[in-house]
Amino acid sequence: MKVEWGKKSRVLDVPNESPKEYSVPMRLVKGNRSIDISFINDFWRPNVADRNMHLYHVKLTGSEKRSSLAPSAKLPASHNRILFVQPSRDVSVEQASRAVISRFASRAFRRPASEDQVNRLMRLADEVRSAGGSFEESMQVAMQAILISPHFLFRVEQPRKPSADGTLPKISNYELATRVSYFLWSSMPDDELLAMAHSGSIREPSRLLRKVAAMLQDRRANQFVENFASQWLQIRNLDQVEPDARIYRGFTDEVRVAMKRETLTFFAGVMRENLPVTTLLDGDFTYLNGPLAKFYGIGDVEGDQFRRVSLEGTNRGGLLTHASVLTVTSNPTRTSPVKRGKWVLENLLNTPPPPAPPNVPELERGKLVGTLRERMEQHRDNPACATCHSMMDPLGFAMENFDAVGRWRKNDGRDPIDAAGALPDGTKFSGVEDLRTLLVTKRKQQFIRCLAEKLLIYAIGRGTEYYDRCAIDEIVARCTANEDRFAYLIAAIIESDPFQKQGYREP
Amino acid sequence: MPRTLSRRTMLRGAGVSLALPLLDVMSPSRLLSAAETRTAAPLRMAFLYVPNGAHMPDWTPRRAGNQFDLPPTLERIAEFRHDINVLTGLTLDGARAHGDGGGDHARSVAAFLTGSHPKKTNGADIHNGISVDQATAQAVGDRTRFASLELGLEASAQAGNCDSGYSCAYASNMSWRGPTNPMAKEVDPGAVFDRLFGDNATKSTRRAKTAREKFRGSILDFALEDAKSLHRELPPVDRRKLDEYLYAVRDVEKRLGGEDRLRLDESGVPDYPRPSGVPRELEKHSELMMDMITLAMQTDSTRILSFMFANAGSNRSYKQIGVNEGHHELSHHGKSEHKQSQIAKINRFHMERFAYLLRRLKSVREGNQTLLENSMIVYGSGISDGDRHNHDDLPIVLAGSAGGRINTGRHIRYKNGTPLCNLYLWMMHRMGARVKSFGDSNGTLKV
Repeated sequence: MKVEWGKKSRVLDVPNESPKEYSVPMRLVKGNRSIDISFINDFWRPNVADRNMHLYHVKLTGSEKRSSLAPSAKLPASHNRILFVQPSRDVSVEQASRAVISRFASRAFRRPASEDQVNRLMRLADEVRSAGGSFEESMQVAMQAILISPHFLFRVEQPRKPSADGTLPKISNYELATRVSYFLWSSMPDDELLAMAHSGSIREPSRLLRKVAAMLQDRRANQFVENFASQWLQIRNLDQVEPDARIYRGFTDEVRVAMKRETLTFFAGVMRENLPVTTLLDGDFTYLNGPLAKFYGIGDVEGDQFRRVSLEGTNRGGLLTHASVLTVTSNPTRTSPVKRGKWVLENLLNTPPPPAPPNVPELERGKLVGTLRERMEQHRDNPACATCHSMMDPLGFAMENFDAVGRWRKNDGRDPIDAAGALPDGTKFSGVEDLRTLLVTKRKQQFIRCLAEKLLIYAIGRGTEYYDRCAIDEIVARCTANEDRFAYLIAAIIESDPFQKQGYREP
Repeated sequence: MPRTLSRRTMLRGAGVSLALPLLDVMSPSRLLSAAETRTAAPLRMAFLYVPNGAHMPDWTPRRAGNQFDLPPTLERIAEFRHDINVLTGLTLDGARAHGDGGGDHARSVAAFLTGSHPKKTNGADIHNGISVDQATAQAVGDRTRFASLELGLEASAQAGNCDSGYSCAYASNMSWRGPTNPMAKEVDPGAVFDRLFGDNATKSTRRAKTAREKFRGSILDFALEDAKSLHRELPPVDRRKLDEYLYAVRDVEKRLGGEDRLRLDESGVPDYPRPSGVPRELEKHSELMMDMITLAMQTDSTRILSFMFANAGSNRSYKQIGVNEGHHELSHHGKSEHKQSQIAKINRFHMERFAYLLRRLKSVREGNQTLLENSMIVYGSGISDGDRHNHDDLPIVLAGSAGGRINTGRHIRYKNGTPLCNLYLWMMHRMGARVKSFGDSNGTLKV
């Protein structure tokens, strides 16, 4: 007799007459398996001999071995948190699956999963188990489905229609919780925020503001700093700039990384200490480590750790003097007052210059001569260029005391730096300090409005439209009414209409 | 020998996209080298883009015809002068301003392979034409494991303002699957390699497939059902995002299955080590990518490729050849001799990288021809002179003889203003795509 299972087989000698029980140990992996039992030496010669085999019964007993699963004490905490119910004598597989799937899907979708979704996931898990899969494997497959669902990968908001009088209803509590958490953490809401959405307390302003304040202090808010500040200030481009190593010897990859870190830490400092937002421009402190301090020529800072450093008595203070900003607005071999001026107009004053006109006339008459400033001024003689450059260039020239990698200098080559300038409206200034003062006094309102709008765009993930204007007015007013402090700006954005409602979109 | 079926055709024909067993009839055609009995090797098309135009006095040959001279830039591919045609006078009208003002760089990349005039916006409402590689891929791409490959040395960005109000999607993508769907480039040669070839471990049958792999079809069904019901609710703007999602899920699905990839030990797969990421030196990076292009063509993984040396208006400096200023900054040379000479240097640098590719392609034999001969490779830019920003008389080289269908070794001077798309239309016809026109074409180019 031969017993075959999978690729294995065993031949058993079955003696005459006396029946006997035979046991064959085998290891079977999960799934449908076939076991063949065959009579392999049939013999018959008429009137001489006839060999037959009688099979009385076949019994298959066995135990399920789960060697692939570690004992529960050794499993990571996340495993037990996700599979928080296991099937047992009191809990059916069905009950456990439903509990695990509902919780995981609701967390992933950032709102309660629909009945239909849970049912479809249950069917998927069933399919796995009926093919021999374990409870854990069935949950694994269901979770994979959840994690590639568009409801997880996209922030889905129910599209809403304006009512007859043209006003849009507010988004749902869960949608609000999601907007808040992606704004401040670039990630999904935590349990507390979801619970607030569930109970409705997310609509109580004081309760929500307490939560927002806590969220800004949380480590996860570093994501906001990294994503917002580095996009707003364009310092992501630092990774790509290639200052000429022969001219700017001190600029190393270590310094490149430290430059970005300085700006992000500074922004985070202003945010976490809830300082006036104008501190971003005129703060007399920054954060440095040894290599960057040495690059700046500021003493007494040793080691790789960043720390707060007072800038009193130095030429620096505020974002305009950060090497990160000064470097991304330069060319590889020289500073670019045009780029720097454009940067100020775009990112601090929200008045981007229009693109250069088509067919910029060629500068036919020989080469431009003189210092950079003189060459630029000759360039500006052309009225087609002058309209914009008369705004951009003076702003940029005010920062000329910083070279193309943000180090202080008094000369450009042999030419002494002249950092004076005047705007078309007659405002005169000289050097970065004057520019800074101008921005935090005369142009303060414009700066806060600019920052508010950039933050709003980041928060709601769409450009601002004409109908958002009143909301931005209100955001700025609320911020200035509270000593321009950072947290009030964030709070005002969260409470604003564009944040609480969907924007109308042209179909 | 029976006509071989491509796997993709099979999958389509069966109406399902998953888990079909490998049929023997298909395997011989997996590799060209195994298909010696074919009468002719297939044709390939590739498009290589260089940013910021060229220093034209160093580019344009003075003499036309097969006695043409090689100015300093073209001189870098002198060893291939009998394998190429230099085409002058071709024009990209879509890249012109047409009242849209500045932004020539972004516009010219968006127009380079589409011949369209992209909608000026830096918002979500991007709109461009379909590109020649994608249009061809949609027509005949099902003959290979990958319909097309999009490669480059600088990563693509899909949003943001990159050039005077033009979205970065325009500035960094020249391949467009549809009016709103730019195809992001792969810049990591290691990733390209992994896309083309499965590692040896995947052939092991001992390793049981995990439950996840086995149920991939059901998992996808769940996600697709979610996506479908969402699709009905969403406003059109968001539907585009969801379409991208659906496309990506299906695409990833195809790749994860491993069925699309060749195994390294499969006969005929060239012995080439897997590149480990993006090298710091531009030359090395470029070489590896050129090797990937060669491998992809050689193994008939795809017949359609696009490659960007840099994104539009790239301001990269080229220290390795003594150019410390940014490329874009230099291209606005204002007739400065110094700047023009620096640009010419960069042009020669890129041309040398192109020579490397040509060398590789020429070294691969296919029957009594070479891979290079069986190709149509366009190298050029959508801008002519970087200072004038003109889009006529573009710098264009066409390498390869389209499988011996055309003569090579000539400088062909077209009437200035001849649409570049006429060349594309001609190429599409050679590839077997039956279209009447493409972009702003007004006929097929006489090559």
